[in-house]
Amino acid sequence: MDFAFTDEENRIISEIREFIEKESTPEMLEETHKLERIYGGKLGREFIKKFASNGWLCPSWPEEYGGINSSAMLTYMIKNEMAYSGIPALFVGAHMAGPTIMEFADEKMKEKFLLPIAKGDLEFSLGYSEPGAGSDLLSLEMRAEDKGGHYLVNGQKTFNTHAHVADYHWLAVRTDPDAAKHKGISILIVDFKTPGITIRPMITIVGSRTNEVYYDNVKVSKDCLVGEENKGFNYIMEALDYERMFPFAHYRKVFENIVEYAKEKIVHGEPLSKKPLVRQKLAQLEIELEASELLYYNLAHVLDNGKVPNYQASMEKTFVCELDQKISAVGMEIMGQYGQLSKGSKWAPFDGEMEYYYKWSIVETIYGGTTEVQKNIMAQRGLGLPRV
Amino acid sequence: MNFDLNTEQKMLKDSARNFFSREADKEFIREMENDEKGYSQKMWKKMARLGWMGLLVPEKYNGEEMGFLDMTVLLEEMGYACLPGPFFSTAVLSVITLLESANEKQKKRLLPKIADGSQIITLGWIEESGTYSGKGISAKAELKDDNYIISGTKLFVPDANTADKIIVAARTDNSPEDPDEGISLFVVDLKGDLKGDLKGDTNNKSINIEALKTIRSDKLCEVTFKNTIVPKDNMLGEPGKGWETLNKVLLKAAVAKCAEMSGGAKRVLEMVVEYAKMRHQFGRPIGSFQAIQTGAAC
Repeated sequence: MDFAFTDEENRIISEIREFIEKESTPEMLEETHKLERIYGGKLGREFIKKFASNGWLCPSWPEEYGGINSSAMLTYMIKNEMAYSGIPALFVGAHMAGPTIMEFADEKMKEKFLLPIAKGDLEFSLGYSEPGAGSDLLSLEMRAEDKGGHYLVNGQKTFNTHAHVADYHWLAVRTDPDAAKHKGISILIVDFKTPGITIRPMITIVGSRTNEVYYDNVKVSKDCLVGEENKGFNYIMEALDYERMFPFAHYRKVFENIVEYAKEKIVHGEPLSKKPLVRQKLAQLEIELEASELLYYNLAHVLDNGKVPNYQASMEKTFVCELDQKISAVGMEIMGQYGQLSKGSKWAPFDGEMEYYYKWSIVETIYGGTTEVQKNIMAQRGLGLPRV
Repeated sequence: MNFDLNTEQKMLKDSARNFFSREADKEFIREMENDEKGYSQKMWKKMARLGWMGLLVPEKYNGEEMGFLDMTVLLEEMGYACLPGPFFSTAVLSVITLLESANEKQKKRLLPKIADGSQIITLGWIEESGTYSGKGISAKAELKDDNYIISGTKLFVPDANTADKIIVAARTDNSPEDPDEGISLFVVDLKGDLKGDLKGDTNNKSINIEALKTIRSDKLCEVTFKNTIVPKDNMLGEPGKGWETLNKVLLKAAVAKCAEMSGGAKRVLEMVVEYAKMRHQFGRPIGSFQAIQTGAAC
């Protein structure tokens, strides 16, 4: 057991830190903030393409696909650094679709997508949820009929977050309505420019945008099928595990801001940080942040040992998101009256960041599977408790 | 102990529930979030006709002279309806402050106007420290001839953007032994166009009001006074005893806020339960899962 990063890992991280420091502009960071750190904005793309040219976007991939053959550990360190610094950090192509393509798609599809993904040229949007299929993803109904040379796709998706800025849809469809639920689903990669697709905004509690996507007689070539027909649910399950491997360092940053506020805010002649109640709350959060760091890097450790983390991903996701809510709640308490002020208010500390993250932590806890769903996974797959 | 509402309270509760379900639907509340004033004047007048602004105001000032417990019944319904607007600042904060501190003449002039819905009055006490304490008050009021000259900045003042008047806490003694001493309360005219009303101060250019954006889009403001001239008759209660009054207001306001919030919480729980029954996943209502049941019940 060794809890330290290697010199080489630390060297690359400081190189990345320098790069971000030098290359990120306030305009790009502002755009990224408005997009909730998802990838696809104009300035974000310009930045990430440069960033990715060093092999940093998909570092664990082989060099032929744009990676640097690194360990999963280094990949996770880089992802966390990206989350901390406020540059685009949520990628469907690089973090979810890409690894699944690598594992299950044929050579032709790998050739077409992997290098462009690793270079930051392409972004995807997940197309899973539907009005009647949220936590119960197996109930999805969007139909892809086999018409010989192509599929004819009809139906509606909801909560497809990257759809308005992405190039391709990572789309879960029902190809065999007569088979058992989990044996009739396939994954298609659909170009968003294909005729018959309509994207409409759904706005969240924090004001961020996700989308509903309608397919109206959309013709999709059979070349767009990922892996084998009707095996899509297995692919989804694996991609979901990847989705759940959350970097947490954006909340490390929020926490640092709260600590700074407590040190600097003078109330009745004394900084808030001198109050025992404030100090204890902050110390508790630091303990939990360090615990989440261990859970997070353990995922990389599992990957580096040739396995895909599964219930461990649920553990990490749940712990981190619940902690994000706690950090935000403590921040709101410490900032008191000031915590409620929004971006643009004259008196708002950190330009209204506190109330923003207070709401954002709720969104984060929901996407990729709610705490309740994750706990069911931990109970069943991790602890081996019987299914209900 | 008796937890049942009496007949009058039941009527109040029912009429409030009916009124808000009619007048304050979801669309209206969302609209008010983006509305500059944050309330509807038409609705305000209707609420006044129902006697709600004057619920705590004694009959001799044209109020309903009902009790604080009755007010909590109404506030619970307001929370249930998620009602936006200056009711809390006017009919709770200001009325309690006036009842605790105003003299007969002041009460006669101010309370009937609150009761009939023609005046909105708010309370400005918090400053930069962000705390509810005497220590936090540094705004100054200096006596010059027959007037006080007020300077200072009040923060998180509810509804100052629409209020006709503000009750301001300011120091008349800058270095008392006890920081809760030396604070006095003043009624200051924010509109300055109400002739003969408490010798309304007309130089309101000395007051700057700026709305602050907040998480729930309510109307909290920064109010800055720069050498604002206020007639000394506008002082409420004895000089230097303002915090004593505010301390009582604070306790009652906290109870009133609890009533409002418990109404809001009740509505949220109803929504949760309704959704848990309606939303189906895995072929059954999600409310049939224990994880949801224990969550909703605890």
